[in-house]
Amino acid sequence: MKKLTYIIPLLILIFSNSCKPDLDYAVHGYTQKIIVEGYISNGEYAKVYLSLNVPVWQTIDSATILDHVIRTAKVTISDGKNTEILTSSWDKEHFPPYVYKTTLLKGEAGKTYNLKIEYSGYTVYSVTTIPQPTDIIQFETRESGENDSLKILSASFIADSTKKCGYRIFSRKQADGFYTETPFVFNAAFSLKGLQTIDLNPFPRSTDPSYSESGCFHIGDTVKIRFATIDSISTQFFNELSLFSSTTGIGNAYFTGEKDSLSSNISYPGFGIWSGSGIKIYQVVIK
Amino acid sequence: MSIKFLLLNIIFICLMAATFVVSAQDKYAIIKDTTDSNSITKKNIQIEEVQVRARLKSINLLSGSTGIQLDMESMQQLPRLVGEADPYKALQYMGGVSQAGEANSGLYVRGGNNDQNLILLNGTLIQNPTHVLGIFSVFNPDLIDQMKFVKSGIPAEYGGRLSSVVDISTASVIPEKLKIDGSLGLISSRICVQFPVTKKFSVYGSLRGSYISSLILPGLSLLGIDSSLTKNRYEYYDVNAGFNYKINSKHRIIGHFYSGNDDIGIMQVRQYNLDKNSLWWKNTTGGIQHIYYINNQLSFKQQLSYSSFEIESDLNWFNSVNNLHSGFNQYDYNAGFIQISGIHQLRYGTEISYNQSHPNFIRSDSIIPIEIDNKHNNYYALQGSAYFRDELTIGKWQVNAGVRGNIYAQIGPYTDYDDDQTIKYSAGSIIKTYHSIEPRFFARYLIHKNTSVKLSASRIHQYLNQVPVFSFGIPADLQIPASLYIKPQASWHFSGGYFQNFKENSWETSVEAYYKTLENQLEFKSNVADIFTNGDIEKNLLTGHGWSYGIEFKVRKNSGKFTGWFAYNLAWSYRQFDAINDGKPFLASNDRRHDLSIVTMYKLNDKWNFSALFVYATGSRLNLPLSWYVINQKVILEYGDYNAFEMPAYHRLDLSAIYKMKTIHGIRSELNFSVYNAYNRANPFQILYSTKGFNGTDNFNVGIRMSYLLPVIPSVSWVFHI
Repeated sequence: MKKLTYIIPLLILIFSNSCKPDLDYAVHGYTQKIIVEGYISNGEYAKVYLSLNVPVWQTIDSATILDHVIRTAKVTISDGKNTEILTSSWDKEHFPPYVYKTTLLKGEAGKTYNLKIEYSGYTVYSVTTIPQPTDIIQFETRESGENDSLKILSASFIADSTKKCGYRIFSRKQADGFYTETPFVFNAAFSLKGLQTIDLNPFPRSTDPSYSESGCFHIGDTVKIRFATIDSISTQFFNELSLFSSTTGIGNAYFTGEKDSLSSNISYPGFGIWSGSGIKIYQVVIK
Repeated sequence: MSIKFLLLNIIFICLMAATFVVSAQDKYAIIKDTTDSNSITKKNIQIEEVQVRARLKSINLLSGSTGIQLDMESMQQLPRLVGEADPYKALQYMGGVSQAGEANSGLYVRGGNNDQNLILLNGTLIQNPTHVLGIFSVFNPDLIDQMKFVKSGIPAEYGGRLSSVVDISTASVIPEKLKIDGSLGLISSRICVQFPVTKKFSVYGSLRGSYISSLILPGLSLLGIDSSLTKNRYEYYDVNAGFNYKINSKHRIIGHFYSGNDDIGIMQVRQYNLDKNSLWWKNTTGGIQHIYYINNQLSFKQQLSYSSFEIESDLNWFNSVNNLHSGFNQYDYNAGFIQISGIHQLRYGTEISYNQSHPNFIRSDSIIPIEIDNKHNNYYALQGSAYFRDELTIGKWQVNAGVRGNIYAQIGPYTDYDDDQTIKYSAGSIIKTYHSIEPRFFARYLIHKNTSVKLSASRIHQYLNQVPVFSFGIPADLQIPASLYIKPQASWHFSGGYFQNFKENSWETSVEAYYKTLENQLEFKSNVADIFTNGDIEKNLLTGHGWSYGIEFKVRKNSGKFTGWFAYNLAWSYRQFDAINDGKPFLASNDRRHDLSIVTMYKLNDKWNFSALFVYATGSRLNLPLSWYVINQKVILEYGDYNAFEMPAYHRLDLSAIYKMKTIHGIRSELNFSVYNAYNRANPFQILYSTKGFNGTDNFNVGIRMSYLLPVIPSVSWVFHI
């Protein structure tokens, strides 16, 4: 009986302290890169966000990412005739919340823009062209099926099969603070021809007032729609991003043996996207 | 006669009965008879002990291929893993087979993939031979009569899988009286009844099931085991039924049916996404054999069989439950002769099968318009094969040479979703055919009565693939056959071995080396997202090739109070795909540089037997990210060289003790005490990454987490034989 008084606690100790191994991340070739997220659209100032990639073995939280934001880079944009060095400031509407912006140079459809970033002895380059914007020729609403006061909003446009372009659509409900993207890049395979009708299905943030409406729109709401036409490289990037992030963005996900990283149009040691988009902005009232 | 001597001879009888070794055939011409192997086995059990012992001397030296042949009695000497002596599971510890990893009893033979093993139950194909993520196999130990595992020198009568053959047969002898075997345990229970209806006709049935989540895991939770390990759900059941009908001395008919079902839920996956991640799979097989003993020199066997396998995964992805279903059905007829002609033993025959596969049927309850393209196809195929082989023994040489020819045709209905135009094929039309000729060669030379060398070379083609969705963890595989766009897998396998016994065969040693090529290997192009959105599965696959090589050492002690073996593999397994890793070769997911198994058994006395099993394997290869970054408000992973990460090593110790109880009213019984994973090693099951604060908030929190599955599992079971 005395032995039991030793054995039982010992067993409990063994059982509750299993030997848990961990991964060895030490020697697998991490290199630091300048992560670039840049946009230029017709009629709008250019915006560029810069940060560094974070080794996977470092704890990742908001503070770590903020520590990796680049705030001392020299960013230059040129359209061949005009050149501007971007000025930087905080941008609370974006994460990471630090932006480099033009103050003079605005995008024009059909023009090509060169991006040059100098940081910590490295220089990276990229180039993009703003495609001609595409018109939305019709908006329609229909019953959502779940709630009489909610509607599904769809938009129709003519896909130009002679050009390798993709389409992104963003919507901003009256009460919300931000544009929210319907999380797909349309025409990702460049196979759409002629009239296309797509459902807007924004994925509201949990902090948005319209969160409970999910992808539907409330009757009487005024909605702003931003329809972007992007070139083939941007299409590939944002399509991969939409699929990639759909597994990483929500809750847990399995490592499924990813074969590739995302595409990029930034020169080494940079990585990311410098994307020109031809945009059209509309405002509709849901009926 | 001493008990020790008696027991040794019982073991020898069993080993002899399962191995058709040539040495004793001088005395017993019946071994060279053309009757089926099952009846030979039972006849040999009647042989007197001294004669049997003479046969044991050459088992490992003389066998006509490399691998293992066992009957259930010898498997009873293994450690009882969670209360069962599981011969299929034990294959992982016998050399040449890599430890698959936690919760995976897949066989990775000499660098091959798990889908490259031909697993037969009474000649009928078993697609997934595991229960409860690999803790159990689907084979009920009370019914298994013998098991043959061949890893090189695969004879021509077997085809369709590149790496190995596991051929298991259930009891085929009509019992003299009602026979009931069973087990009551903390984890699972089983019962098996064999009943002679007449002297010529018997039936049998068995039922097996687990209740792990109801009993043992809650108990472990009370003992303080991590709740993430004890709140999972994994249960299974299976049934076997069949009959044996000896029409007369010339004709016999044997029928068999099997059905098994698994239901798995992993709590660690569920904790973020409620309880919607689960997995189930189901095997159903049935077959009927007719055996005709034409004369002592010639016999004929034909079989009609059916096999089906379905696997279904519910994955909580994109805030919705996505259901992925994959399945396969096969109808098969084979017929073959065994003929003895002088020093020749000939086998020749043919096989015809009709296959149906549906690789990826997807159903989603998503409110978001996931762009599933609905380009799904079911795949239909006809396959015919013919084989001929001759086993020739001249003096110290034994040569086994054969050839197998295959023709495979994908037939309609089928829709080819070509980029430019969609082509529809009508039902029954031939869409694509493949032909193959497979030479098989094996030679053994007996250098000395205690020493032999063996060489083999073989070519094999495989027409059905199981492509894993996940490289690690949950075993969700899609059933994808050869088709218009997918060429059949193929392999060359060269192997050589040196075998030597010592001290009158009490000690067996061997060293074997091999080189294997693997052609037309498949990998999914990208990630799980594509599987859910891209129904045209053929266009979503990458094709590459692979090669593996290694050396295997084994030392085994057969007699004395202490018995057991030591098996060590040193191996390399590579793959090369033009579209992966910039075309550079990379280590395969199943690459295990070091793989060690130590099995010891100790017979204390007539009542008590103890055994222990220790396994160690280098961690599997995995493709993990090197860094994180944020772009477009999303956390993105950056990957480096493919499969550059090595998982932590897998190791585990299992212990068991058997206490033989007194026979009461004719009921023989024993108590099995076993501990699976005795030192509670948390072997990695899968790797997950989790993000919180997604979707516009600035409170990102991302982490890579390794999940673990099986804690220490103590078990007690009462095994009885009536």
